Amino acid sequence: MSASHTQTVVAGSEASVLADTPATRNPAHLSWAPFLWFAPAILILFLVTLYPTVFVGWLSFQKTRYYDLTGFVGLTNYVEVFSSPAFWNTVYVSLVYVAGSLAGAVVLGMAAALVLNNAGPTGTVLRVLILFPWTLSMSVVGSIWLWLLNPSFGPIPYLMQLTGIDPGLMLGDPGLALPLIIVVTAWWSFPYVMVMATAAMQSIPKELYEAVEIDGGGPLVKFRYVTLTHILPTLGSTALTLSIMYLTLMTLIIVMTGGGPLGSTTTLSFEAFRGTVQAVNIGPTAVVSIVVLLINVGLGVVYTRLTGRVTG
Amino acid sequence: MSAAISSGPTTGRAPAILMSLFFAVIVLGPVAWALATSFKTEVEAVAVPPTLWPNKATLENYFKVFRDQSFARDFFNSVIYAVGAVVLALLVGIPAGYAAARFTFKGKRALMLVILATSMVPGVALLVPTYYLLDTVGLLNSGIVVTIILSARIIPQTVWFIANFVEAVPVEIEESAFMDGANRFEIIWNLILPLIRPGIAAVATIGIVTTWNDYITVAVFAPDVAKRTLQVALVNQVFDAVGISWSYMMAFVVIASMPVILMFGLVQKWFISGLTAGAVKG
Amino acid sequence: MANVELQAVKKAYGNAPVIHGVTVDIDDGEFVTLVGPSGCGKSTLLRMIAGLEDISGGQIRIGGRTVNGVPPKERDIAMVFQNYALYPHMTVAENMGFSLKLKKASRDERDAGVKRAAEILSLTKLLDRYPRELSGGQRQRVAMGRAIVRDPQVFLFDEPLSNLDAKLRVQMRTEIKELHQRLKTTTVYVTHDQVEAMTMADKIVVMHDGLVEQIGAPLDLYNHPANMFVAGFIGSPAMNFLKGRCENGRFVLEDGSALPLPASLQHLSSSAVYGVRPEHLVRSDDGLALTVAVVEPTGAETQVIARHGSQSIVCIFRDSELPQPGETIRVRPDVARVHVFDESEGTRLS
Repeated sequence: MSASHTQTVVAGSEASVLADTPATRNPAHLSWAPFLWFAPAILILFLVTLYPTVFVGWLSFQKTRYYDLTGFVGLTNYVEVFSSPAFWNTVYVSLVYVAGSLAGAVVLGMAAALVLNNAGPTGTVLRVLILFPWTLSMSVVGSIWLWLLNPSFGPIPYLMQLTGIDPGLMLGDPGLALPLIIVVTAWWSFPYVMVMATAAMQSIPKELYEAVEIDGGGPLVKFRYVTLTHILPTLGSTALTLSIMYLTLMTLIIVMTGGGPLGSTTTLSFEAFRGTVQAVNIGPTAVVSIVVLLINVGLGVVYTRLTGRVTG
Repeated sequence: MSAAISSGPTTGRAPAILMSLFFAVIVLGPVAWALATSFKTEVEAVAVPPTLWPNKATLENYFKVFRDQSFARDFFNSVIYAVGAVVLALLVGIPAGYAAARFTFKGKRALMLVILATSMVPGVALLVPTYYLLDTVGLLNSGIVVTIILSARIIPQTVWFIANFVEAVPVEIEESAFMDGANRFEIIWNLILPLIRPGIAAVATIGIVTTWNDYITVAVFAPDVAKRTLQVALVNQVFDAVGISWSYMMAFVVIASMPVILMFGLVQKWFISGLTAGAVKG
Repeated sequence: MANVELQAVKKAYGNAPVIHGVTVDIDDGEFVTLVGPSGCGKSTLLRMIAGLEDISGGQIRIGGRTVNGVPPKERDIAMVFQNYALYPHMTVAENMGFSLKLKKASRDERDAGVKRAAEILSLTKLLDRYPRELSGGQRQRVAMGRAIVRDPQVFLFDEPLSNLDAKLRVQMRTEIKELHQRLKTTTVYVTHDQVEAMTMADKIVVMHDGLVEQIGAPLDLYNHPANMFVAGFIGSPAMNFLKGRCENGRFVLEDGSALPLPASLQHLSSSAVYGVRPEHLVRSDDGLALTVAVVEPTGAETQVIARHGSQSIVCIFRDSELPQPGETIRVRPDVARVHVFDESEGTRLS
């Protein structure tokens, strides 16, 4: 593209008559006309997202009985939450849940991407089929696995018994519930990693592999210096997307364990949900919500920095 | 398609195919099991040892689901919320996305940052304040409110997608039409919308899947049985542990997933391109 | 048809001026090329004539009517874009008829207009195809067809051939020129390719950094460039420039060797730049000594890149006897076609 063309592109966006058609006829329109195009979207986002975001902050300083506000209490709710061992347990469960699911999904997803990419047409067909569970709802996924893992009738405990392992209570076992939920989460989300990694792999120019071959490199060199280096940024942003998703995922836990047994699967998000529907004292729930909010926004900012996606 | 590990087009293909099949079994096995169970009788569903394939396949579970008085209503609610949310998101997202792609003005960056910021706020953090606000103004159990909330969740991505797709249309095409005498509305209607149709299909598909699958929004803000969706009805069955019938529930699972399955089958190409759009840096 | 007058036309983006006041008169039926290096403002100027850019200062008149602030569709002009800007989802016929459709012309009127343009451009057999089914040259013709259908007063072309391969470019160049000779519509044509500008234009406007350097007929610019910029830009390969002094009726280079000056310039005595085109150097035993670096024969002629001290000099010879790299040759300029430029201003001294 010649520089003069670049210039016209700049012109097209800066001061082109087309961009400001109303403006050329009536300069007073210039400042607010473009905002009208955004107004409906912004209005909805303001009502549904922005205002409640501000409001939850205000709520966290209130003393409440059920959904009645009974007065401003300063930082009392924060002190209550942050000094409660149950809260820190929730944080721990969230961390283990996110890290465990992420590890499982990324490892499985990468492996599946590599394997399917080398399986020719079979791989192409299977890739579509494997992505399918990703479209299922969390309530559906939870229901299916609840059944598969049912200690009395489920096929998985049955298979375990056949191989001589005592399945025990499965999701009813406080030590086993979280690992099982992690397995299900990884099962559900690794196809997403696979699709992302495959897209990244297929964008690698074939010539790079040929160059490695001419330079005398084997399959490992190809993977290490071509494949991995090329898909790493994609993998990073995918991992962040999934972290955000895992952190806010509640439905699977609601269906499979209800946060139990003994709080062993109560994540921060589940706690925010539980507090909302039980509605005994929503001040502390507001604090937990704010914690989830801040972590999420933090991860979101990192994601934005990483992918350089800001203003379109 | 690049051969990442194999050194040639044919060598090493067989082990890769075997391992691919292994992944397919891991992923599709549970789904297939659920499907098989939905055709079993209630007794066979809980038989030990479990049967892989129904001894006596029956459609009774499906009939039971359809006969259920609340099923039609739940299904209708699911459709209305999902379609309504996506249509609303497109109605407000197309003008905003077009403006984001084509206009330069003071404050645009701030607007885009606001939209970006709203996409980072998780729905779970807004459960308490939204419930409080809706309760205060008496708007709990409103189908319209639920639709708007669901729509807001997909508006940011809709705006970005539309903006990206509009940007991919050379501005000269619009200028050419402008010189041909078209006004802005004619340009968008005659040129932009037909040209970005694949993009609209992709956002709509993902939007439908997202909103159809939602449980939390409906369960919390429209707890009334008359306002619930198939997803909420399904979860309620799980909670109703006493009367649970696994074969019935699996039939319900299949039906509740059917629209999404159909959509996935029809437009999986759009679905995948929507997922990976912007994921890979060129 | 109409004439186009640009009067002290200015363009600025915010505080950044990109066109500093351009005055050009384009006569009715004339073919004018705007040529210059990338970023010189030629495309912006064309877009201002089209009405796609605001005019920051000065006046643009089409057919005697001032069009500042008049929207494009009321200017009675048509434009062919660099990337053709065909509507991808419309057939060739729909593309060409779109402007008439917008004007709410009747079906018959539309068909007649499209048919006429298609016949002129021999597109009749392609009318039902989509742009993606056409070759580069065919797309180019559709873009022109779209302009012809509107039967405008002025055609505007924005680097229309730059997306085509070299052979097709030459062919389309001829087609556009023939089209102009047939329709006689006033045409403004932007290009960065001076060969295109030279071969097609009745009149060339050479632009540089938002200013007009020179306006004239192609051979005028070649024979009488107003300054070093035009001298270097027009002609291929570019003119050789040598630094030195005019002394005693000769031009003395830094190393003391001398070149002849035309009679009209023999009175000069100052630092200057000596300009001579590669094709105006001939081999001569009493000429300037050059060391041959690279020899590039193309058949009809041979381009020789040689060095004199640190200065690189390009020569074009038509004789078949090729010098060898490393060889020393002697060349003499055709003194009647030599130009001398002011060292600081770059203007031609004669």
